Amino acid sequence: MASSESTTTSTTTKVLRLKSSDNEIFGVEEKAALQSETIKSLAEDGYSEDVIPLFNVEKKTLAKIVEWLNKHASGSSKEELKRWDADFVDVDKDVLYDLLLASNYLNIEVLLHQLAQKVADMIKGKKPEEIRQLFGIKNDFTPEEEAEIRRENAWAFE
Amino acid sequence: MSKRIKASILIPGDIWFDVLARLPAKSLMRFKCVCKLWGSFIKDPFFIQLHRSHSKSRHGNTVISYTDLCSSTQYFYFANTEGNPDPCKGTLSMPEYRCISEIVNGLICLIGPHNVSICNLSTHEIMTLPDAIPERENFSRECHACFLFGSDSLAQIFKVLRVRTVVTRNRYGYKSSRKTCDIFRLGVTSSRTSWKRIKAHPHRFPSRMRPASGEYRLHADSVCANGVIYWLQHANWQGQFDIGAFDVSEEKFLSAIPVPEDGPSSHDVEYLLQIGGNLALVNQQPRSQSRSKIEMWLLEGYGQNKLWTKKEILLQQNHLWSRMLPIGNIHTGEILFIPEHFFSNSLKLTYYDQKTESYRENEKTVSTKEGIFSIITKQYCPNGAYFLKEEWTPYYQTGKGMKLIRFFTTDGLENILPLRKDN
Repeated sequence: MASSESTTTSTTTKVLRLKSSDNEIFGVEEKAALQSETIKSLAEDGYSEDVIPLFNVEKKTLAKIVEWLNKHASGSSKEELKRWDADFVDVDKDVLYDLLLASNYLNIEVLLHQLAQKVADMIKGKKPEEIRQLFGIKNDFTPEEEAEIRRENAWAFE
Repeated sequence: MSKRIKASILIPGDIWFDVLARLPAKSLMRFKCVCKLWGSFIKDPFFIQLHRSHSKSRHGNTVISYTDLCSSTQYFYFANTEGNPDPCKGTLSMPEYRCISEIVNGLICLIGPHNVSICNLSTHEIMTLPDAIPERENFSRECHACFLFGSDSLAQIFKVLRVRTVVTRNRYGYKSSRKTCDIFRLGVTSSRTSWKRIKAHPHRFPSRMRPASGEYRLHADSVCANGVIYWLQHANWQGQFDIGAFDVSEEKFLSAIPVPEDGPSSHDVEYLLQIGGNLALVNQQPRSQSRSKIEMWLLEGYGQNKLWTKKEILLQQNHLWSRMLPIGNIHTGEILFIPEHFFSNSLKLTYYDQKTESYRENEKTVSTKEGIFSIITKQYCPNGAYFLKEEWTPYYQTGKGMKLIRFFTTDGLENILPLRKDN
């Protein structure tokens, strides 16, 4: 479904075909797709005529990424793009992490920064134990070490 | 395995690095104990630089800080441009001090009665420098010292310079004095844990504010701009002055900078500020003369080709009842002005835009402690022994019940540089 809307925009410009890990194919204009450094190097390696396989990205995430790539290649004004981006990253945390991983894998620097900022805004008011639980991070400090760090930075816990 | 656990395992360290660099310092101080990896990120030199550059774009930066010099417990307060307290910064409880430096890239130097401390205003870390104030060696010797505090232009290396003057008398009673300079270095790379003697000698330092024998103090009127510490000093016995300079990276005293030819004479009230990364010499006309303008000279340019540019700031009519003192510039480039005297809860912050030559005043007042008449000025050295102008001294001496508040402006950038190596 996402594949058809982006391919119909123009017949003259080159379209790259991206394949998700679950075998969905997305057509993206070359100009838009090359914002990803990973796609760029794959295209340079001769994949451009063929389907570009993206083994680490599922279709629902790739659909979002393609949406972002198209928007950022559309020549929208700065203000409009800013509003659009704010809406784009306003998603629930599971989608956010999938996007983060995908944009890291695809090496889309601008998107990666937007998502990192979003995660930062989300976690900045949290407690260490909430962070560990949220991201499944193992606490590898001894209770004494942790108590010491908490004591030294007591003001930050107020 | 739940979805969120899956995501977390996959989020690689370098993404976390980028996410954490966007957090306010307060969150980072809390997240140091999440896990060892996060703890190690937060003290990584590259991370510290990245965090500092990200803090530039963050909203709600603290730009004004103030400290109450007279209360028995000394606190450092943080506020935004409207004068509202910044909850992200808390209130910092300081060690007892007598003199306080300018804020140099997020760090501040405090001279106490018995020791010298450096305080990181972003992390609230306080480090007392070892052996900063040596024991009085010998009663036959007179000894005094001044401290200067500054950083290199990249804000990576911070140095405290101690200039000690030891006066010795031979058995016939003749005096001879010897100056020694020592440096204490703090920074992302190779923080020293001791003082290092340097060969450099000041040309005429300290002179404008020679401490009494046995005293140790900060050079109250020094300013650090672009990696150079500047201070006012007497150029000769006629009371003329020039500006001494010390290059922080090179650890060298630079040749003294003459004041501008059309500059203030020795009888005017003048002091140094840092405005937009440049050194500024401010002439606040004495009370008896015109109070409607402030003259300011900016030292602009690089290396040997620095030139003074004069600016005149005309004061608004309603400011004439109390002199307005420039404090420094905020991130917008506007200069903050504060009245020399104000009643508690009546202080409004005034900003001067250099480009449009216009003022704006905040609607809200800054909430200070109640019922206290307050004085604020950069020139006060709170042990009462030193003022730029002698006639100001009685103000302080009779100032029982008055609060002295020192205001600062900052560029709003955070600096999470750890002061101790093991931290």
